[in-house]
Order: sequence, then structure tokens, then C-alpha cells
Amino acid sequence: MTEPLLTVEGVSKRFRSAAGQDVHALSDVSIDVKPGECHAIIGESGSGKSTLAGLILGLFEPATGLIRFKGAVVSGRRRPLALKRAIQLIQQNPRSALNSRRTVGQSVRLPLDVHGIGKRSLRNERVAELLREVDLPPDYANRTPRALSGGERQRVAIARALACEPQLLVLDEPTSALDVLVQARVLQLLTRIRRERGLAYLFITHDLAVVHGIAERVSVLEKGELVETGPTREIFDSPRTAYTRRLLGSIPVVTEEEARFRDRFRTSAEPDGEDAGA
Amino acid sequence: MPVTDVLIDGRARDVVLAVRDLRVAFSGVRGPVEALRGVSLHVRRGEKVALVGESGSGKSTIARLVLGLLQDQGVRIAGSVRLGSREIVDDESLVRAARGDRVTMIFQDAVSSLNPTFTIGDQFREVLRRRDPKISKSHADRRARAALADVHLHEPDRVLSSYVFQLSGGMSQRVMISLALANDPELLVADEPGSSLDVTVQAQTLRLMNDLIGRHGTSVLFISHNLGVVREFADRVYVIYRGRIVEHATVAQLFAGARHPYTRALLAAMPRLDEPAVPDAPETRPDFNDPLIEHPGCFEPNFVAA
Repeated sequence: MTEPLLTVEGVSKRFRSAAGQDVHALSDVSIDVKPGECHAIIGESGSGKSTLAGLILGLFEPATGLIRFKGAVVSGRRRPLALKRAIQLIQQNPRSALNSRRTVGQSVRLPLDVHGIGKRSLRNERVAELLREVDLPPDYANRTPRALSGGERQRVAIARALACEPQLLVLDEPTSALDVLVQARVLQLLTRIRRERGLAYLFITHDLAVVHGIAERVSVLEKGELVETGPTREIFDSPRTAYTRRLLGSIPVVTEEEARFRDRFRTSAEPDGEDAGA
Repeated sequence: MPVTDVLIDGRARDVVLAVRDLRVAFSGVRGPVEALRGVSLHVRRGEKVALVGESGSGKSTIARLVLGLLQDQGVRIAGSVRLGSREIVDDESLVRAARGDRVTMIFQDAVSSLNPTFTIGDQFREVLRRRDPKISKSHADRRARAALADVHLHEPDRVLSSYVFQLSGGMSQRVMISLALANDPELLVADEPGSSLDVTVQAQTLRLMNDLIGRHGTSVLFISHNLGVVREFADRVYVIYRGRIVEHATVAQLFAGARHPYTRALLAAMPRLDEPAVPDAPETRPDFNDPLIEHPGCFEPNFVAA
């Protein structure tokens, strides 16, 4: 049994809403990510999946519970630089994730300077290597994000994260803003990088079809609670909760075989009330 | 000499929207940028026609032209766009009269397309006045309540007195659908409806829309990047790539056997629910620009000058 890289133990988080009410964003959630593993977190809006990402990245402290990285308890805010370096984030929108005033090269080089990675004189060469690793021509270093497509920007964001030589990538809907052909290319890239670098991924998404070929394990969040967790194959073959079945049954598909697979999860009595949309 | 066009196809009077050889160029920093390079498509009465493409393909440009939102904006437009018997390609005033009444639109993001400073009830009354300027407040509210019940919003009075920020995303989308159908339009243009919603809410929204459109007999131009949604919603489909239609088929034909290299690449790139594999990632190839493929029975109606 491999020791987990990341452990989230019984974590809860509340936020105060504008109306002054407490909103339970996460209630007693426990998950872990093993070295080299891809663990997908599935949830719709309001499920708490981005709150979970924020807690793992140390953006805020959990109300209860704790987070361990390689066995050691880590706090939210006061994190050593080495820990920040080990856990990197890829966001949904690569447009806002990159500083539009910096060139691609400056963005990818910044973490090398911050963390003092490699000799100063070799860092521009390192930037070129990183761009090649994400299938971008090294001369993209001189461009600004404005001149790039959405898929290219996401590749730059991935290169910048890899510059830190992280052990865990937190990917928050990394392809849901991309066109389908671009999404497929980025998914292939992420798969190759994980294999080559032995990285662990926490892959957050609302799209179950996307995780099927990517993740070894899947956890399903509903309204801040972990409702189901297990190996990907088990979740897809025999989901245990009505919520997971409803998610699987809602996905628009393109082939007859998929429709048959999907329709197993459709129930005759689909709730169409406004509660479902509220 | 003014020429009246007559359709010779037997079913031609059923054509609600006919776009013919449409070319649109926006002015860019380095000269004009061609958004549409000769697009022809049509929608018949009661038909749900999908236009599928990626971002930048020009699919939303077509929607904006049909709604009269691009004419007189300094955009270069050539070709023909007919709404029923009216040629609207160069005259925004003709479509302005029809907008909100005979042709309506629903957008991807309902929350930002509803006016934040008016209640839903105010917005209903304004829409209903497009058709019937003298409609009384109580009559309008009665119609609005019935329309909201049609989209399964069970507290119509609360919804009518609400502002959009007081509603959830799914509720806002339902409100927008019922506003768009309130005047029984001939044509509904739906641009990525529900794609900003959660999958379960999106599925419900599309089911609802389908049901309502069927009952009203509304014709729909359905614009989407998601082939899965198209398969569930549309009768007929056009695939658009870089401002050109590359494949035209019924939904059954397309999903049983797509023939254009671009369409096949799109289908191959879809993550499969039933297969634990990363989808293929086809590279952009020259044959994506291959000529239009029309499946049997799919063609543009003929127009002749009378």
C-alpha cells in the first residue's frame, strides 16, 4: 500500500453569504491522492469542488479537519516555499490565468526565479525546454498571451506549472473552456506529461465523460458532501448513488453504444421541478 | 428593377429562414477578416436545425445577422438572408419590426441576457407589448403566469416580482425560454442554450425547450459546439468550419455516418462515456477544407426570379 501524497481528512468549510447566512461549502470530506495517480473530483456548481481545490492549495484554512502532504500536516496560509512549489494549479480559464503584460517566456520563467531553480544563465534555455514539452515552438517565448489561442494559452499555463517541478497538479476544469478538438489535444498532453513525469493529478471537473479515460479513481461531490468514491471503472459500471446515476444519465452523447450505456442510468421519473434548477 | 423571388420547390412556402451564399467580413487591424465565406442554409416550418462548429467558425455571426444585430454596423455583408418572404440582409429595419415577436433569441448565459434593473414581470410585459401594444397589465400578467407554468416554474408570482439575481441559473434559463416563446415566434434562434449550466440542469432545460417548441410548432435554428446536444435536440444539422458549411445531413444520417473529414475529427475528439480512453486528438488537416458534403435529401431549396 503506497502512502498517499495528499490526504484530506474530515475537512469542512463554511462561508458567510451576502445575506449573512452560513453556507456549508464542504462538510466532513476525506479524500487522498497517491503518488502518480489521477484522482478525479466530479461535481456540479455549488458542490464544493473549487473550495476543495482552494483548501488544498492553502488559499484558506479548513474550519475542521486537516490536510497532509507526504504525511505531514500542512496549514493553509503559512506554507513553506517548497510546499507551494510542490502543489501547482491549472485553472479553467487560461486567459485570466496568464498575466497579459508578460510575454510567455517571462511567465514561464517567473517560477524559476522565485524558487531559484537552476542556474540563472540557463533559465531561458529551461523555458524553451518547457515550451517544447507542451508542444509549443520555443519562439513563443517572445509572444504575449493575446496572440495565442485558448489551447495554446492553456499549454503555457501547464508549462509554467511544470517549471516548479511539482509533485501534484490541481487541475480545476482545465479543458471545459476549450473547443472539443483542442480539449482532446490538451487531455492527450496531460496524459503524456503525467506518464513521463510520474506526476499526481487532482482533476476537478463537471464532465464525467472526460475523466473516464484519464482518472484511476473518481470521487463525487454533491452540495459539499462526498457521496461516492471508488475506482473509475466501478463508478461507471455500477454507480451506487442516485446522484451519480443522474449525472451519468444527463450527459449528451454521440453514438448509439454510448446512448445505450448512458440510458441505463436514466430513470423513468426525472424530476423536472424548479428545485432541480434552483 | 425590383425582382420578387419565388420558390419553385413544392414545399418552399414552408421555408421560414433561407440564407444564401452569405459572406461577411469584419474590419481587422490587418485588413478585412472573413467570418463567413459563402454560407447557405435554411430552416423549414416546425423544424429544428442545428449549426455546429467550434469557436471562430462564424456560427454566432449567422445568429446575429438573422436577428438584425450586424446590419448597419460597418460590417461587409453580401448574399441573402430571408426571414419568410423578407430580405433582411441589408436592411436592419425590417428585422427590427420582427425582433422579439416573429423572431426571437435565447442566449448561452441567461443571467446576463436578462435586464438586471427590471423585474421579470416588467420584462414579460415589454415582450408581450411587442405583439399587442394595448395589452392590459392584468392580461399580460395572466399570460406571463401561464408561460412560466409551461416551463415548470411553480411560483409564478414570486418569479414575476423577482430580479434576475434572485433566481438560480436554471430558473433564469427557463424564464428566458418562456420570454422567447411568449409571442409564438416563427423562428427561435438558440445560441448554445444551457451550455453554461450544469449537465443535469442542461438536460432538463433542453427537454423542456423541446417539449414547448413541439407544442408551439416553432422553427428553431440551434447553434452549438456540442455534437452530443445536437444529436438529442435537432432534426437536421449543418457543420460549419472556418466560415463554410462542410457537411449537411439529417441528424440520423450524420451520426450514423459522418463523411466530411472535419466532422469525423470532431466526433473522434469527443470523450466517450462508454470507453475508458483519452479521445483521439486529430491534427488540423488540409482536408478539413474539403468541399461541402450533402447527404441524400439534404439540399437548399431553389429560388428563381419571377
